[in-house]
Amino acid sequence: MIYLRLLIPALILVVMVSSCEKDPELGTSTFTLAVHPVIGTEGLILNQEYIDQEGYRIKPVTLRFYIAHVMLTSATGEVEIKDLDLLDMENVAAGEPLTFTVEAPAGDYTGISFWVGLDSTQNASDPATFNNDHPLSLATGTFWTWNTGYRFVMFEGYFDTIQNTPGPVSSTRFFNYHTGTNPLYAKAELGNASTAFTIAEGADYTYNLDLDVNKMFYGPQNIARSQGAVTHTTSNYELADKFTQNFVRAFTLSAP
Amino acid sequence: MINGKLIIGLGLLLALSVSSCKPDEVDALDRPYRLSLPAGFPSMNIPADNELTEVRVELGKMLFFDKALSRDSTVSCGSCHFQLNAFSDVVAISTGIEGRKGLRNSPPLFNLGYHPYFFFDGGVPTLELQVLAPVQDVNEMDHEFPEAVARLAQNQVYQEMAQIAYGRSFDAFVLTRAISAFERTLVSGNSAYDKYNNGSSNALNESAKRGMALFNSERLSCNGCHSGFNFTDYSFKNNGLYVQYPDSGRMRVTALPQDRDKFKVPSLRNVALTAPYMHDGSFATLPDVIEHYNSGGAANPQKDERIQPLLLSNQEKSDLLEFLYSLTDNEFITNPNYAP
Ligand code: HEC
Ligand code: HEC
Repeated sequence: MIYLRLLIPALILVVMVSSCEKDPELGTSTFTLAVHPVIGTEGLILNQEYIDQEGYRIKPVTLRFYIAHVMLTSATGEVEIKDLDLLDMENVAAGEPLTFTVEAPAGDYTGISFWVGLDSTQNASDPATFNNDHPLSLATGTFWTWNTGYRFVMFEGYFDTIQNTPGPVSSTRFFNYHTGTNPLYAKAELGNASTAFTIAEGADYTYNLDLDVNKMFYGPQNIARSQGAVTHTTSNYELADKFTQNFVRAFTLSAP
Repeated sequence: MINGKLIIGLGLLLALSVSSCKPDEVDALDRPYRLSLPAGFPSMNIPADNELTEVRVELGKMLFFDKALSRDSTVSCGSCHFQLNAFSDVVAISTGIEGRKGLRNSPPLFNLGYHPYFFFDGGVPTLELQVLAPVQDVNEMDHEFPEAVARLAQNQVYQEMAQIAYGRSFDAFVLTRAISAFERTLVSGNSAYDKYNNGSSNALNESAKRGMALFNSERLSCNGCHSGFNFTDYSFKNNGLYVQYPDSGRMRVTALPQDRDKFKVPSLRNVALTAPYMHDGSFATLPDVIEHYNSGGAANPQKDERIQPLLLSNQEKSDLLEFLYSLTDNEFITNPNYAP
C-alpha cells in the first residue's frame, strides 16, 4: 500500500517535470542583441584610460546593467523576446560586445525597446532563491543587502575632475554610479521606419547598438564632475536620476 | 518490516524532493518544530518555503554561531548578538572582522517573526533577506555571500542536514532559510509583566504597577509608540536625540526628506539587558534614557510632538524604571535551546 501511495504521485511528478522542456521548433529564427560599449568613436575596454569629449580622463573598471522586457517593435505592435538579462563587461573578452541570443519570430520590424533595470516584481526577488548562473542570483553582486532590491546599473572607475590634465588618472578619484529603486526603472527605445529590418525565416539576425560613455555624462542631463562622483541612489537620488536619464539615451544604433 | 518500509519510503521521498522543484516538503527524518507562543501572543506568519522543522532550526542555530561565515573566520552572528543580553551587544557599536566598527548599535533579537521589516531604517523586508546583510557588510563579516556559501558547503554535517531539512544541497537558500528558522524560534514573553498580565497579580510590585500606569498615561504616552504585545508599533519616529543626526535613519533607504532622522520604534521587552540604548548606543543606562524623555529631547524639526518635557518626580522616575525592569524574561536568556 505504502508503495502505491508514494509511487503514483512520484510518477505524476516525473511526467510533469519531463514535459516542462519544450522541443525547439525547426526553422526558427534567432535574434542577437549586441551592445558595444564605446567612448565616442573608440571601443571601450575596462581598466584602460580614455579622454572623454570634454577632455576629462576616465578609466572605467565596472560596467554592468540589467535589461528587462526586450521587445521587437513592428508596424503592428510589439513582441517580447527576452524578459531579463544582466549585461556585464567582466563577462566578455576585451573589445567584445555584450550580447544575448534568443529565438524570435520572423518578420519585419522597425526597432527594439527595452527597460534598463528590473520591473517591480523582479526587483522584489530574493536572490538566495536563484542558482549562481541566474541574473538575479547573489553571484552577480548586484543585490543591495542593506536595502531591498537590486542595483540596476553599476558603473565604476576613476576620473579626473580637471580637464586636460596629463595622465595617468589619479587612483583616488573613484566614481561610482549605482542606480536602482523602482522609480528609476527606465525605458530605452531604438530604431524607426528608416532603420527597419527583417528577420528572415530560419535566419540569424544581429542588432548592433553602441553604448556611449560620453552620453552617460553629457546627455539630456549634464553631469558636471562637481556634482558628485558617488551615488548609491538613496544617498544622492538626484544624481542617480540624472545618470539614469542619460544612460537610457546613451544607446544608439551602431553605424553599419 | 517497519525499517524496510521506512527506507523505501525515504528513498521515494528523496527522489520526490529532488525531482520536484519544491524544496519545502518535510523529510521523514525531520519533524515539524513545535513553536510554543506565550499567552496573549498572536500567531506568527511563517513563509511557506520555510516552515519550521527541528533540523532546520538546529542547522540554523549551528550556522548562527559559526565563525566560518565571516571572511577571516573570526566573527559569527553570535559575536554581536549575545543570548545573555537578549541577543544584543554590550557596546555602543559592535566590532566586526579586523576590529572594524559599523554605524549602529546591535539590537536584541527576539520575536523577530512578528517584525514587518528589519534594521533601524526598515530597509530589509524579510528575515531571510536580512541574513545577507551582515555577511556582506564590510564592517561586519566582509564575506562575498557566494564565497561564504562555498566554504560552508564543504562541511559534511551541513550538507547532510541541508538534504534532510530542505531536500537540496547546502546553498544560499539553505543558509538564509535555516538561520531565519532558528531566529523565528527566539520568542520572548515570560517576564514578570507577562505573568502579571496573565493573572499573577503579585508578579509586579507596587512601584512597577505605578510605572506601568505612567507608561500608559496620556501625560507620558510611551505606549503611543511602544505599543502592543511587543511594545512597538514598528513605525519610524524621531524621539529628539539630536538637533542634527549624523545618521539620517529611514531616509537612508527611502531618500525621502520626510523620513529624515526617523528610526524604527524598538521593542522594550528585555530592555534592562540591552544597554547601551538607541540606534547609536548613545545612552549608557536606562536612567539616562528616562532623563532624556523627561527633558523633552533636542529641538529637531522631525521630533514627534509627544516628546515633551515631562516634569517627572524622582518617585515617578524610579517607578517607570521599575516597570521597564519588569519586562525582563530570564527564561529567554537562559533557555538552552538558544545556546550554541
Ligand atoms: C559586527 C556585528 C554584527 C554581526 C556579526 C551580526 N550582526 Fe546582526 N546586527 C548588527 C547591527 C549593528 C544591527 C543593526 C543594523 C541596522 O539597523 O542598520 C543588526 C541587526 C540585526 C537584525 C535586525 C533586527 C531588527 O530588529 O531589525 C537581525 C535579525 C540580525 N542582526 C541578525 C544577524 C544575523 C543572522 C547575523 C549573522 C548572519 C548577524 N546579525 C551578524 C550587528 C551584527
Ligand atoms: C514618538 C514615539 C515614541 C514615544 C512617545 C516614546 N518613544 Fe521610546 N523610542 C522611540 C524611538 C523611535 C526609539 C529609538 C530611537 C533611536 O534609536 O534613535 C525609542 C527608544 C527607546 C528606548 C531605547 C530602547 C533600546 O533598546 O535602545 C527606551 C528605553 C524607550 N524608548 C523608552 C520610552 C519611554 C519610557 C517612553 C515614555 C516616556 C518612550 N520611550 C516614548 C519612540 C518613542
